[in-house]
Amino acid sequence: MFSSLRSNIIRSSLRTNTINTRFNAIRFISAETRAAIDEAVKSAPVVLFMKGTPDAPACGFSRATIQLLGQQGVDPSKFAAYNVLEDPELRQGVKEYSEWPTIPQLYVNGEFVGGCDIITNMSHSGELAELLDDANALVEE
Amino acid sequence: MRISLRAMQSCGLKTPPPYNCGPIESKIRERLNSKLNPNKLEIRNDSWKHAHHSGMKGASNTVESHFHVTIISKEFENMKSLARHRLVFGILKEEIPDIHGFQIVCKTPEEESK
Repeated sequence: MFSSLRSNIIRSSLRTNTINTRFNAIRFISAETRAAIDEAVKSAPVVLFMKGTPDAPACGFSRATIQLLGQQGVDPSKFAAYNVLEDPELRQGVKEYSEWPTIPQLYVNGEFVGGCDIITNMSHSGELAELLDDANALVEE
Repeated sequence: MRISLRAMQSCGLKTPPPYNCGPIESKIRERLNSKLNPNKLEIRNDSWKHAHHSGMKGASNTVESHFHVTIISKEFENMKSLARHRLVFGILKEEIPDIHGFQIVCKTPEEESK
């Protein structure tokens, strides 16, 4: 299960158009969903659960979040995005997992950071840059 | 109420509809007022801006789909923003699943006055 999930990680360059691997229609029972999300959260230093893909966000809030991460200079090799629209169980499961009712959701080093509003505020205050830098997730200049 | 909702639905996409408070917005206001005793509570219904978006295609609720809520309350004192948002989500747990986009600004009176 984990390997099938991992193969569906959408690794994306935030700056260039690249591959979009699609989620297969995977059906999990609840405990498995939790375990799979656990795995997803830890699959990269920066993990975003979003609607659509980094290249084609399907929601304004997911789009804004991707743009913010791009502006910060997140290293594509340290980033994984999961499209919740490709999997209804992931869409529902991640809300329960994070105890957060909305998408997008950002994780850094396995820790839940927040949704679009929080990320926007953190980017204005400089906290986002600091967090990503501490996680060694930015492209080197 | 039925007439006002119909008026909102028939409204064009590019201009905001005449202001009418729907049932979800009323519930949000009621719950936040009673739980957070806010110094200020502003609820903006942005649904008209999003009604034509692809993500809203086939949606049954296009009249009360997007809200922007500003809450100034002492209850947020000594809480980080994550905890503040979780508090609000918890208070509105019955309404949020019906809402497509929900933006929140949570500040304490002290932060607001800065």
